[in-house]
Amino acid sequence: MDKSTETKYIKEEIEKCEELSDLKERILPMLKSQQELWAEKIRQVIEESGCSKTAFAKKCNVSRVAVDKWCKGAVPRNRETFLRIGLAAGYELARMNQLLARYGRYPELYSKSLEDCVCIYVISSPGDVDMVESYDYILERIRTNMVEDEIMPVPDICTAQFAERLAQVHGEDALAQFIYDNIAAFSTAYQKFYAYVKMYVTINYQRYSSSIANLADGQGWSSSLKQCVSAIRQNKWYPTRNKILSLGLHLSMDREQIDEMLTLAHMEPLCAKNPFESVIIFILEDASLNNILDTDSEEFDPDELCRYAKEVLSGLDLPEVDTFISELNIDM
Amino acid sequence: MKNNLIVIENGQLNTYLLDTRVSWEVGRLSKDNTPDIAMHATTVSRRQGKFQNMDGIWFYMDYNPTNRTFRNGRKLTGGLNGRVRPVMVSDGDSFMFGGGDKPMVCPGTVWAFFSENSYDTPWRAVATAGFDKLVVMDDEAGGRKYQYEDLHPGKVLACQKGMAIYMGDITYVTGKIKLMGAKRRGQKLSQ
Repeated sequence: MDKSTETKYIKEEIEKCEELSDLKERILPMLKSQQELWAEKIRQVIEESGCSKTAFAKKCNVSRVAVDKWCKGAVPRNRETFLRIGLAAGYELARMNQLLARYGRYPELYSKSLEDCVCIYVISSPGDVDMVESYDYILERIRTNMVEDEIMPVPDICTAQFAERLAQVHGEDALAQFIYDNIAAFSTAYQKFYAYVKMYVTINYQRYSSSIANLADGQGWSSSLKQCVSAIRQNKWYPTRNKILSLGLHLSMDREQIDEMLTLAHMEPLCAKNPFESVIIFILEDASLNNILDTDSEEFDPDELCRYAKEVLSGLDLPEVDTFISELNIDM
Repeated sequence: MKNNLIVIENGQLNTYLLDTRVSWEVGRLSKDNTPDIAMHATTVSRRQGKFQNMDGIWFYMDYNPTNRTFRNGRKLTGGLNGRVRPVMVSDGDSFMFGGGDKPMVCPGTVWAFFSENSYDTPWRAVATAGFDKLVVMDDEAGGRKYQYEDLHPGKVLACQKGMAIYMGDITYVTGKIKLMGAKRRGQKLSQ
């Protein structure tokens, strides 16, 4: 079975699960955890790079201990580290994107994000210089010379055309000029994502609470989730996958809406082959199919999906669950 | 870039420049209800939905999933526990308001099209009954031709300098473009 057929098969099987025990017994044993996949991957990356662990750690600007932990399955906690690992490994675009999306569960490289734009340039202009050093040097240079208070018009250009223009850029000076000319575009990288969340909250929660802050207080949201929503309102939040899932559950979104948020944040939709996400898919499918959220009910219970998710997740022994469940701060 | 909604109901075409307001209520005109985008089909609800702008991006929200609204041929449904599902609208999206379980251009439904393009020339109607192939081309020397064969009501025929909307017996045309076509029996249209 090839990988796409396998993913489709697993997805269909999750949708067929009627009970949580079905999911536990039939589906989860088929899947490798993110930690297992990551440990295998990083060992392979280091081996292919021909570096010792110490040298690889130095290249990535982390400690040797950190690399040891990676090799035991600890997944780096920020996307920047994944970029450095990919650059240290000398990855080209497709492999870098795979590293970010599959192993880090972060958005793929996006040319309209400043850091990613520099990263894409460095990847596409390989030379004898160390790619991590080159990335750091160019980014620092651009940030130092950036004029922040100047209002520039947002260029009316789609991402594909933007990426094409970036591919035509040769030389650091040309890159700096390209970034300066398009500086306004970088501020709009997640504009659609922010707008979607804001619209969803506006249209659905205005009648229940005067603001999202009241809703968050009422539901006992974690401070980090509150911060993320506040940052979304100011168009400043850098999306992370688990926070998006948590937000979706708190706002009682269905699977299609959560997938839409992920897509707008330049991420893959929910992944049936990831054990943790397979459970989230099961929760959302079950919520829709078994009418646990009665659409005709006049009583509004904004916590119902969260409570159900917490109940299901608490019964599972999955590595991501503990951190995630602390977000679902709902009394059972 | 201007965001327009082109609405066709019973042969009548209306264009709404969405950017002139933050939100547009969509519904059936009645004695006590005057929606911003007013329709007449009885299968359209008085409060069908609304188009609303958020930070420069347009969304459509359907008020009630039983109303039957289709976007790009797919029926819009509500979210969990009766929540409204915002649908982000993109250039080229088509909507069908009212009607039965399947989207169909007919007197009982209203067809609409979201476009980021607008042209200076007014819309004109061209009779295209029986044509099974249409060609649109920019009305200038060396203008590129775009040929369309899979014609069905609601098919948008795009060109650089304008656009045409095929609705069966009539095709609506705007912009500096020419519309040409051929009938199966060899009858030719040139407009």
